[in-house]
Amino acid sequence: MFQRLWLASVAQPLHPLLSVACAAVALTFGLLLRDATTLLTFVAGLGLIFMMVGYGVLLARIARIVIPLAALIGVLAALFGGGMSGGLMTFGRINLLGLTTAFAWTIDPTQLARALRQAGAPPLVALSLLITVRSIPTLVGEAVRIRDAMRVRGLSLRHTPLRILYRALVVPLLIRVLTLSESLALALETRAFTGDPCATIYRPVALHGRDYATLALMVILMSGVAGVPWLCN
Amino acid sequence: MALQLTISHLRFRYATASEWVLQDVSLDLRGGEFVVIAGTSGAGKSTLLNCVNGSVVVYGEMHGQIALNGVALTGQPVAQIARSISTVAQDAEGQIVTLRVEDEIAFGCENLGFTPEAIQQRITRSCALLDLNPDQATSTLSGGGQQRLITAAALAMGTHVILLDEPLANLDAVGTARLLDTLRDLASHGALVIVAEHRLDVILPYATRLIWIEDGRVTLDLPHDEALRYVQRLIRRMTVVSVPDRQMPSDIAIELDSVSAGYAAVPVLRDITLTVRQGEQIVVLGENGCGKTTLLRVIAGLLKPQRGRLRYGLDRLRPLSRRIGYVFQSPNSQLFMDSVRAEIAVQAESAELVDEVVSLFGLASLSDRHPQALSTGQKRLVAVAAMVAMRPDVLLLDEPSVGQDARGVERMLAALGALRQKWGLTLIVVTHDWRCAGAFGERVIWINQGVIHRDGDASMLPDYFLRAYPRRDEVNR
Repeated sequence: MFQRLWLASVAQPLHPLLSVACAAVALTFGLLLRDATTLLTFVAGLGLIFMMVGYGVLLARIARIVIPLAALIGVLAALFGGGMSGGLMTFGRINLLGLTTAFAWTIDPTQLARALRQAGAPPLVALSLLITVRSIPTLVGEAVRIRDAMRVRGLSLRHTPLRILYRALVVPLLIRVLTLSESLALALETRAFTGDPCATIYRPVALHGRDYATLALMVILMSGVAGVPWLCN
Repeated sequence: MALQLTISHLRFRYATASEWVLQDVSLDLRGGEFVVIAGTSGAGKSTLLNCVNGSVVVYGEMHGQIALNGVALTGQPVAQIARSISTVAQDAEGQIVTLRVEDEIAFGCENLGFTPEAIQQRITRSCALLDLNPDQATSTLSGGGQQRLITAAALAMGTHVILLDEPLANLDAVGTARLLDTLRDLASHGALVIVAEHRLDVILPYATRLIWIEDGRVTLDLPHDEALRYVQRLIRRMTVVSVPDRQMPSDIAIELDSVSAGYAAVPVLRDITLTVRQGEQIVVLGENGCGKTTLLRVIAGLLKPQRGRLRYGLDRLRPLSRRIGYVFQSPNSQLFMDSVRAEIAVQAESAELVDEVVSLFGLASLSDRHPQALSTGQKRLVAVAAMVAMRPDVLLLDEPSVGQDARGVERMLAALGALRQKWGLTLIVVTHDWRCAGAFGERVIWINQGVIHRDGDASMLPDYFLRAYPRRDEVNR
């Protein structure tokens, strides 16, 4: 649900593997920075890059939540012993976390699975990713059925011992996981899935100019942030 | 060369059981045939299909030969057999592995190594045949949509033998007609279509051959015309009207006054006005998607009506969940204790009632077993028993005969009959099974597209179950 909202705000997401790599590298790199000014410069630059490659609407959305939150925690950190620079560091890091998470969140699992297979990962790995995401709505559906089942049996939070409530919830859910895995195994086999890496990839994912541009901008930003203070000293 | 699937002297038993599910099944099936495999639940229909596609072999012991065009299938890996035989199993939801309709249909084709262009064509064709939108997210499909999707995914693989296990389970009337038309078309172009299905009233007019399996053996093998006549006779005989001795009108149990209900802006049920009296035994009939289950959910208080009024004329001092019992179509989510006895006792009205229910439902020998380890039919008996042990005034049963053999249905009926005598238990049963409808139906309500189409006695059962039959095939006996 949330994912669909966010995806809709990005017309054309970047190549999924590039997105994963950018988010991971940016987060690691940012957390390694030890100086508030550098960190804030980096976060601002990162935001600018994401905006330039079409993630502006998404950034505007999450900024409304993340910036006030980061500011609040930053102030608290400053007051409780961090001082001015400590507060700014916290502010910057939370913004960084929000930025990279939002960015990674826009990855379409289907595209990621395709890209993984193109990159030579075993088909089973890509498929497991899809099946994991796919089973969430199935299990949510089961949870709704279980809630109904509990109401019909007259189980309620107030009158039923916790031990029984817990069983009523967990046992059917486990059973569904088991039947689900049985159905899945059958579905994979009867649809000729063998894990053969040579199977066709319907609609492979291509790298576009925007992807290269993002990569270049990221490299420039990181070398700038890392290099400038070093040059100045 | 015409397609030919031969099964000779097939025997199979599961590793966990001592009895043979299939005992000496021999069949000769040809391309161009639309074969319906019927028989009571547990007779071995699904097992037979899964022997053909090879998926069940690892779970037990199999003897005999299965050959496609003279080439033995026995011993081949499932994924290899899948290149010539495609399967649509039960549990549509659990078989969907991807996130978009298009990818789901592509999945099998990718494994077969088709080119992206060929896959594109197959997706377009399958989607048009089964009314699917290739860009839709699989998580937003209805039950019927899921069923159509996995069927489309199997058909797109383009094999000449297609096995389907209860494919009509979640389809509404339109979806059913679309699927059956598609299958008939495939068969007329030389494919071999094999369907395990118990809703013969719906499927038989399309089929070319009926094979009946009972206790692991083929007991009947009839061509189209004879099969139609045979099933017509069965339906007429099973639904013999058993008019009960009319009692004085009893108190009102439930009253629905112009109730509309559903899940979105367009209600599933429209303007339902219905009075249910205490001790009545009602069968609710109608195509999938017509609103039968929605009606049960409204009565059980799980779904609030969008419009109209719902009144319960029962003992208002007890909470609603104690007055109305509801056994779902799939009892799995309703069983959670670690023994049959504990399951029945956990919310029971009294210890005496637990003992009585256990013996009425013949569960004494199972009372220490884990409910989830039982067969589907036994699970349902336990779910019904656990519900009546709460001493409900009204019991709602959704498809109580699924997974149940004839003896199980009789036992349930007898037990519920006894409770009806005892405290005037009211029964409302939703079913697609004419045997079950014939057994339970004193009053029959036929729902069509969300409104009550007819409300009468059991004499209208044949009208409903023979509705799809061409008039010219009518035989009067």
